[in-house]
Amino acid sequence: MNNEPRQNPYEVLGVEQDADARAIKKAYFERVRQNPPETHPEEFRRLREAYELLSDPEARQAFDASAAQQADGPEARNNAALQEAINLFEAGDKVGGRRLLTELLNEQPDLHDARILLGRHFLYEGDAKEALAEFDALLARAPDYWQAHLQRGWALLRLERMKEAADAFWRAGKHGPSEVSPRVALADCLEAMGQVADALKVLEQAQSLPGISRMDVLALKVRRIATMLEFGQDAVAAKELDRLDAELPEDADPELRRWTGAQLSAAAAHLFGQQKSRGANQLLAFGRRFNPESATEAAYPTCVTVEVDALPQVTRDWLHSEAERIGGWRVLSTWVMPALFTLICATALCFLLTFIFLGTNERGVWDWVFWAAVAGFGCGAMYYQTRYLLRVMASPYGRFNTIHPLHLIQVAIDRITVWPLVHLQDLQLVNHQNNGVYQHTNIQMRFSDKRMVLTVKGKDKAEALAQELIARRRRVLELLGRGMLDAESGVEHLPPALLASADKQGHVRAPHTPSPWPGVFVAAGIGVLLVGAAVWPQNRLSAEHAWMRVASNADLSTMLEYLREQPDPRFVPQLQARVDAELGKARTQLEARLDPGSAAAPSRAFFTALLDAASRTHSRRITVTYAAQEGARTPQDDPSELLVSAWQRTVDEAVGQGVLVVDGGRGSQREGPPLLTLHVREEVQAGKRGWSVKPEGLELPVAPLDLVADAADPRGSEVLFHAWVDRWHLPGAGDRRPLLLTASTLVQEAQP
Amino acid sequence: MSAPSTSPRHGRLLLGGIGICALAVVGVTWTGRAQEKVLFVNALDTPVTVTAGSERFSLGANDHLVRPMPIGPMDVDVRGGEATLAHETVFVTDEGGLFVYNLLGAAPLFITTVRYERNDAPASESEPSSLVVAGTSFLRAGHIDYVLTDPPRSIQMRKEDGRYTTRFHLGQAPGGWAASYGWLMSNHQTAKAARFTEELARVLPETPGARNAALISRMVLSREEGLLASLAATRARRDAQPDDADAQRAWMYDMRRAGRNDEVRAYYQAEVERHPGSLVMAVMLARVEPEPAGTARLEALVRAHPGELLPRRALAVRYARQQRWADALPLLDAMEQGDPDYARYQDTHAEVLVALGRRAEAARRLSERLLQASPETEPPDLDDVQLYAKLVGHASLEGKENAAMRQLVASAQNDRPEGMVVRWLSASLGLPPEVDSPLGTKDDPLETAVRLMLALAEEPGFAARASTQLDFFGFHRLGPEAGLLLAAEFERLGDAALAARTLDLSGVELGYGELQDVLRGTLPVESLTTTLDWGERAALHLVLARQLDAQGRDSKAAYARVKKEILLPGAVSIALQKWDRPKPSNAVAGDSVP
Repeated sequence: MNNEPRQNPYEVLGVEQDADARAIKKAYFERVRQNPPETHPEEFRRLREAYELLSDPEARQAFDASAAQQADGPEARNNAALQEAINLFEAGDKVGGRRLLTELLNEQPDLHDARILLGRHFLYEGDAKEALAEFDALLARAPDYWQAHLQRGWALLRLERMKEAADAFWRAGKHGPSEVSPRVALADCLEAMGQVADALKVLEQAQSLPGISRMDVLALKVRRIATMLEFGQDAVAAKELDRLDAELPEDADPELRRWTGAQLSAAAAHLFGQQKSRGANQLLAFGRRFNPESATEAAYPTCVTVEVDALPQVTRDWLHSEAERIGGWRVLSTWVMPALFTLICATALCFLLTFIFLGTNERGVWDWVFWAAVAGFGCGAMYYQTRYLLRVMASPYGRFNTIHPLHLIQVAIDRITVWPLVHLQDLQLVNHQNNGVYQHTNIQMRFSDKRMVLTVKGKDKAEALAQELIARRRRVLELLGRGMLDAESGVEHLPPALLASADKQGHVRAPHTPSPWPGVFVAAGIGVLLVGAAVWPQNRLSAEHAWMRVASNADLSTMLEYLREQPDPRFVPQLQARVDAELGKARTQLEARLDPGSAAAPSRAFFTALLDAASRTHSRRITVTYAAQEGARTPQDDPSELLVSAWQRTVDEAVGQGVLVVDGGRGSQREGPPLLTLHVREEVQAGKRGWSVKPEGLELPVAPLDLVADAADPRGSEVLFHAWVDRWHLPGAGDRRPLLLTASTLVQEAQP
Repeated sequence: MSAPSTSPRHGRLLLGGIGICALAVVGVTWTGRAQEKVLFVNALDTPVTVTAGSERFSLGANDHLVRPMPIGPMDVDVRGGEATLAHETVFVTDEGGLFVYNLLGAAPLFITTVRYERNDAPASESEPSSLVVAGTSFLRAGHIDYVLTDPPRSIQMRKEDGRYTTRFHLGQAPGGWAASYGWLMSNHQTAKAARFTEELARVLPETPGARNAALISRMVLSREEGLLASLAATRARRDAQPDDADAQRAWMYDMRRAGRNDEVRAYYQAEVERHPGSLVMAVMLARVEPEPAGTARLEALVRAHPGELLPRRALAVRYARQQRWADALPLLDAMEQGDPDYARYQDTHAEVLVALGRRAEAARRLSERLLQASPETEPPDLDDVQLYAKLVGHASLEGKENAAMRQLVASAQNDRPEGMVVRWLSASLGLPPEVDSPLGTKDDPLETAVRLMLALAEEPGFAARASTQLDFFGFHRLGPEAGLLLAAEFERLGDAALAARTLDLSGVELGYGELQDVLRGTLPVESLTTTLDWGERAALHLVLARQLDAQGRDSKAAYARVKKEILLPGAVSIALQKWDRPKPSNAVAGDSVP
């Protein structure tokens, strides 16, 4: 599809005219290596065209025949003149080349190849208007010359006059009814105008051009599929690929199959360039069936993590040399942070286990379950971290980045992360500053659907790295598009086939490397077992501390609560002795207070029984419940609270304060169940107010009582309680002083 | 640069080192946690040697020391010279914070919450809270920011502290164990006060005032616990100090309250027979013997033992109660010359002189005696100043003629609010308070007594309201005359509970049953001349006169008797002058407005 006068491809590649395909390919790869497209684009173009021509058997045959014809005659002279102009252009002598072509055109105004060459030269130089003028001049002389229309279309396209360009391409097709290149150009133009369906139609129609070669048909089909994938018509593209596969079965011409594979790679490169990585990979994966020997024409995952041990020896050697070159060996900072983190984890785990074994808090079943879970998790995490630290120490590498011919590679200790450059779609440099002082540059990149950031210190360094990444990507796509990626030096260090073996998470694991999870679970199990082993000693320790807290308090209530709620056989005798000592003091007071001359002396047995029961049952609570017949009392003159406080005073007077506690049935849980309950039931009948008193809970030397007072007496409760005290010979018996201590009537009545 | 070693040995060595470090860190931390700081405080005036656990150290007088001690039981042995001051096992628990070992609980320690506010924060009206932690030998004080050092006036606050932040300060007040005792008693922690003063008196018996403090706190505690408890305590004291007349009197008082006078008489009769030469027992028997045998026994004792103070005192008081003023005066004059305990009887002396028409002389002699005493060593008591005011009949400080009053008030002022003493004197004389006279704090017993006297000057109902706020110390300031007057009036008005409480707190030697009998007319007031002073008898007579009013009977003679009995101004004279007389138809307090 290039209309420039061609150099002799055999001379360009430096091969004999009878060289076989293998020799041609070898020579091509060798020359491309010597003249990479970045530095020698023109030479590369010549090499590529020469290789394309000679690698196509039919084209090579036609060239050989044409060369034999053109060896003599005027056409040979014209060709020689054109070749001389080309040589002048390539030598940079633009003026000389133009003058030569102008002179030639003056001599032979209908030498269209000369005008085409002059126009293309202007187009190449960026002077699209001049080029357009040349092509218009040519068409004025030869309106049906399809190549002139085609070149005019390119010039219009360059001038962004899309519709006119499309028209020019259409005309080129019209006047070159069997030519493929105008159709392809038209399809490109329609695509650029967004008329995808029309473009696909043009490509489809081009396949049925008269006399079209099979290779052109296949090229058009691949092109059509690529367009479909580019514009999201994946389902249709898949069907087309299936058809293509059926069209080229395994027993088809191998060269044709290989050629098709190359076309697919070129289309993939085009799609990568259009940031359609998925479609490109689809094409590459499909193309493997036609070109299975290729090391590079395979699907490229966006990002793959590969364990160093999984790398082939050649890759490891290369990595070694890169580490040597860049200085990526393991250094102090590589292992100190993991070691510190391991130390923190180990310390935390030790604290945890120490707390589990030696903590003094009381724990229930669910507490133990919780701590078992925590210990299991902690041990598992510790194992994982330990394993990581050992891996760090077993790897010679630190952390560094390097660029493979096909990939950006991040090396981290014992694994590498591979970012194929074909997916690189976006790159930005962000300089970070602190108070106006430059700190570092972040190279923010997007590889297909993933983002990654490289931090580089130094603006120039970052810029150079970014430039290199962009150039590398361009070169990879260029080579992929030309089917020459295999020839790139260094691709064998990390073959894409290795990357293709990654699992769904994008990891390539080393064979025979044990998974960490069994170890993690075993460690977790050990943690749980340790917690199980801690239950008994911790319970003992906790009991010791609970006892100590009780002992330090030395409060009778606390001691009784301990004996009642959590009696540990180790401490019960000691604590019981202390309780008995306290109650003994109360007994001594009782003896002194209820002296034989006192009216309350007979109640000694009653209080002694209470103290004995407190020592035995570990409760010191007396409950006085009061219930009145309905309507007998108003809430205001309910004596229940007075009864409780009167009873508290009574027991305090007998045995001292803080020994026994009296409540009305709603006592603190801390005091436990009542030792004695005194049920008082009030009834009013026939002008009499009566209290029936029944003790419950203990065998006491007192009898139930039925007490009666005048219902009209406002001091009825006082009278009844006095009677109760007298009958049971309690403190206050025989004394006329009030015992219930009702609220002062004077205070209630007095107004300031 | 060559590749580093990848030998697994390095990794394992590193791992081993990490493990050892982790174990060391945990070991050191856990060992550190197994100790808590204990503050040892010695507020005694004697240096001590403390053995706590395995540590032994000295602690100077009024000194303190912080030591880390292991968690667990800790045997503490404190020695002052050769004597063991304390030996106990305390428990340092793992609850954290500061633990305090306060030797004998004597140091007046307190914990305050110090509030620091930003300069731009609105001024807080809340008072800083204080917690008295004296009286306990060992306790956990919790987190304390400033231990026995004054908190700084200002601190640097962090942003997250907000507008204010709080710190905890453990401080020690001056005054030693006496300050602790005062705090505990005023905070109604009588049991704690009794425990620590008894222990102090036991281990350091020569400590001035310790024995007395132990006695008072034990008595107050037993009073709080009830009559039987109080009786047991006074009985124990009586048995422990048979020659102490005060101990005997205290037991007699409780026995009287319990209505067991016959037992008392039988006891002293038996004691006199067992110890015929015991003056104390003889005097005590004379106190409970019916008249005239009791007076005759006292006169015989004075004659037989002319140099002995105890019978002379008892006889002088007996004569004064019997209104035999002329007989009492020589005895009191003699006591004034040679009795070291004369101060307790100077009010009786003054009353006798007043009864004999020598009021000016009484005032002069009292003021001279009070002003002669050194104000530093023996400042006049408020009761002495009150007696002087009653003798002169006013509380004015103005004028040349009131120089003595000025001096007495100044010397009794102490750290009370300015004018408080005058306010109290005016109230106790029934004089209206000055409008701008200052008020004391609500908790001040003197202020509550002033309030009660002012309420008493209004009507019994107001006095009832005011008396519910009074405790033992308040009634002590008020005097038995006012207490008995109120108790009797409350009983007359049917408020038995308040009457019994007031009678108990007033300290009058009269049981509640006896009071009931007096008001019922079954016990004549004259029969109580051996136990009640003229003012207490006047109070009973006044209430009886009011009872006659309430019953609609003629009360002129009764009121005339009361007026005749009043020697000095006080609660009775105020009530007589200010209270409305009851109406005859079942009138109660509050209905007595004319």
